[in-house]
Amino acid sequence: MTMHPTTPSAMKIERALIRLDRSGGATRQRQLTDQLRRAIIDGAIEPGARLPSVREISAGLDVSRSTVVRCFEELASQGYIVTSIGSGTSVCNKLPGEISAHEVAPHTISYERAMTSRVSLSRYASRILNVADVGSPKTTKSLNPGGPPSDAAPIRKWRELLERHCRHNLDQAECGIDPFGLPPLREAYAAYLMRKRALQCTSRQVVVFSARELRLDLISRILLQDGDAVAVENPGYPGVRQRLIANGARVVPVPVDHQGLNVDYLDSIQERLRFVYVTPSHHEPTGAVMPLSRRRKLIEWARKNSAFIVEDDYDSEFRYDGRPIPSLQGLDDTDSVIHLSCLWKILSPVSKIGFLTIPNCLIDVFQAAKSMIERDLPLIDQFVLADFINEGHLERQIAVNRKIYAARRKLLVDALRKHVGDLSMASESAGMDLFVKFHTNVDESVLVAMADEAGFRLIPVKPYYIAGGERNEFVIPFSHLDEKSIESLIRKFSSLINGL
Amino acid sequence: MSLAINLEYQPYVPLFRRLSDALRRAILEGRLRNGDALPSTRELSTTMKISRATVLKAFDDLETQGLVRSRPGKGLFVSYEPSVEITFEERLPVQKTVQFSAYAQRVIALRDYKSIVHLPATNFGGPPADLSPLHEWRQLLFRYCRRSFLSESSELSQISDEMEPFGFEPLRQALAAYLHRARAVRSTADQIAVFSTKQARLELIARILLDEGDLVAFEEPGYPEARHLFSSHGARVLNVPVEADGIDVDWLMEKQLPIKFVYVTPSHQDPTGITMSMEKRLKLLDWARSNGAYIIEDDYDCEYNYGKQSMPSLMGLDRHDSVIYLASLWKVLYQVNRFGIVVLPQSLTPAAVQAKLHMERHLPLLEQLVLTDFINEGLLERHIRRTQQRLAKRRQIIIHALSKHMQTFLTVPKEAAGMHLIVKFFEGVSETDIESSAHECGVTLTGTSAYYALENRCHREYMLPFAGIDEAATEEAISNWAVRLKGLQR
Repeated sequence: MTMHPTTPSAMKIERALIRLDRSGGATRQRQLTDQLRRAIIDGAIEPGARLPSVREISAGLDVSRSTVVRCFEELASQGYIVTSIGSGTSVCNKLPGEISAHEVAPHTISYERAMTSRVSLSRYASRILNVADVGSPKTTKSLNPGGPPSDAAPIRKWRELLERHCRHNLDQAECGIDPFGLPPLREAYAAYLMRKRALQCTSRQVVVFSARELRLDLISRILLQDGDAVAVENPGYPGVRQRLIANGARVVPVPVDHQGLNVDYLDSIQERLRFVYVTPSHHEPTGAVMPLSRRRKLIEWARKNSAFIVEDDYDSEFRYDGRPIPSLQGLDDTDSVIHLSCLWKILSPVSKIGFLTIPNCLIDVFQAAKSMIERDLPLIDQFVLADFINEGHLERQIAVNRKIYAARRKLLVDALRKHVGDLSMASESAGMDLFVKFHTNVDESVLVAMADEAGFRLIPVKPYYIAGGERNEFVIPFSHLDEKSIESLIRKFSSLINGL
Repeated sequence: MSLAINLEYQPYVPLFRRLSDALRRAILEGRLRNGDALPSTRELSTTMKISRATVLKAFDDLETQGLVRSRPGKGLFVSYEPSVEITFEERLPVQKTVQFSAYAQRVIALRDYKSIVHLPATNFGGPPADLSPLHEWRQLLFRYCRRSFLSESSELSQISDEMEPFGFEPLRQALAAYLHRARAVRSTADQIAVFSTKQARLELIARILLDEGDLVAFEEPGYPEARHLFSSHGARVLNVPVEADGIDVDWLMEKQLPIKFVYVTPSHQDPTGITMSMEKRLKLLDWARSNGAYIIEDDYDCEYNYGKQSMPSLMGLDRHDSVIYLASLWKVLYQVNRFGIVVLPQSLTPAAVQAKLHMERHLPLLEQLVLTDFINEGLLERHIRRTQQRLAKRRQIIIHALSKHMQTFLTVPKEAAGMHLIVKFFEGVSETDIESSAHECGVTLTGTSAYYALENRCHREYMLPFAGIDEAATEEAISNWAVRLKGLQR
């Protein structure tokens, strides 16, 4: 028999754990939710413990019942607590998104590899040929991986705008020749970033790229000398690591916990780091979202070490509950954040444009480099996208997509809970794929094959780790799943596993 | 409550959307603040004289965008608050000392060094807007801008292979066929890489071939953007003189230097317009083979030759896998498509695929679909034929006007392919006089000094773009120019 964890009394909740600030900062619901989550994460309220009832908390803390209900809903949807009829609300036994940190040696690759070609290629070329072995990116059989599903792409609107811009002759002459992209587009996008992602920038700092890859590549070319050290999240997207190593960087892995990159660990690294690459809005693959306190700490670290932060904000549009946290760029006042964003998840395949928002101290050098590498960007696309943003279609489309994805995610989470049961999932409800960890002895490849048979994709997370990696961790892309069939897919998957 | 709303007329935009856009602007500009009530449906419909159904639709639209929220029985309220205070003023630049890489330092040093040659006035070397195939392009855009082609599940977007970073395979096949027809380039689709800009082509080649200190041979005079790009990678650029029939190959043979590659523009030397002779082509190929060097053949302005037979490309003559061929449809399609195209020797494709993966892995699908059909349906060649007639006329007008009025000042070129003439002024007029008088008379010209790396070379040499000239007004402009120059000479 396991011992039942003690139920903290309403009094304990009230006195020791929750302190609501009534001076008018954050809402009570926000404070209550955050503090309760904090208490669960810190272990102040143990896994499995029953929580006081809504009525008790509402009376004890002098907040309305609906506030408490909404708080419970948020925590439940994030997988911290579970409510069952008859037995009240209790803390989940396995907390979401728990992954253990790994301490691994910095990754090294051998620079020498026999070149079969008759010519001597550059050092860069031999590195990129080697680097292909450093974890392979997700295998995709599509020209449009990760784009929105067909029912969520604004193709008709795009067509309308194309019609508008292909009517009269396009003449860029009056817009000048700017390696950073068409000025009206940069203005529109800067306003969007300030409005929706809480950046603080002017259009001078916005750089348009025809594709996403070149952004990080150019950053590393400008900031890194062969052998310079750069910190990355571990686990993290392998393509990023490859790009950095290709440019001669030494990659130093920093563990990730449920709040994203571990800044204390980063702080303990002795050697000089030129920059740290982070995905604070939705960590790939674990789905962790970096809370405000840690964001401030990270900025402080950058200031202290005069390093840059490369903030990849690639799908912050899709956060389904809780309010969005201001971007690092918006919080920083030391000119240290380079902000990467794109509209891939909304506009692919009609547009693949990527954006950088650079600190003022890098404008000159980026201008010089960009005009050599990529100056004449597609004209029609830029005109169309500027109107698409200025006329509000972008925000409309995001709202529409968010609703669709939130519903699909919820169906998937519910179905997994119901039919698979023994698993943990990402704590934060964001992004277009769901991080899951199955607590089963079934082999990874068998699980992937079964998911495939059931009709959905299970992508192993192993390649995301620089070393090691947990067993049976996956991400499930859910944005393309059909609402009506989600439950039956998972049911089929579960019966396949049980049939073993 | 009163609220200034301007329902500006916009073609194709329904009324409800114009209303919701106006309200949205009011919210984003802070005229309506978080928690403010919106005017009621009735109020808006009477004051704006529009139906209540329209107002309701506009409100729905705002709700979808998450800008307003309804409270049952109380109406609609603004629910939008910027999460951080937005300041539209620029923040004070922080004095941050940045330690730049060697690459960054080189790039900064090269920055202002006579590099921009494609000025807006000369339309960046592209065709004028009135000769752009906008109509045909638009029809193809509409053919493919449909869910059935662009969605994730569409058959088209499923096509993918290990050459994926090089671009959409049917497009690469179409390009291979076109380059074979037009330029005698023999290649398979696997050797063709498509880039979204023309600059990215040389960047990729430089990355996979050059280390700091490597030697590169370059035409003198030659295209400055390419020279700077090689310098940005730390290459030592050797300036090889251009003779009457192309780059001095004997110079290359005598020097016996470990040159990585030579960059040439054989079909229409940039800027002199010289065509490389067949003899020289074969000699250059022979040099490359025996020295294990590559030839970068930039075939940048080969589409318009006004009846003169064009020479086969080096790529088509090569038998030893040593030519890297650069093409673009820049001179034909500038306004609608700016893709850069490289045909690679087989020995370079593995490294190039990997390098492309890290520069630009995906190109816009729509644009690739459209260009594929534009080529396969013969529209490209038809468009070149049509515009060639137009351009030939303009070329004749300018040559005629120059020979009539300007013979005393400059040599009028006898033949010229492409979209500009090269003229060389005689001594006796200063460059400032030439430039200011041309400007006053509305004649567009660009000096070639940026093309020369060695200072003591050519002076008073100019490019005269004729593709975009006003056919009716050109002769008058040139004769005015001649009169003015005469006045300055005295």
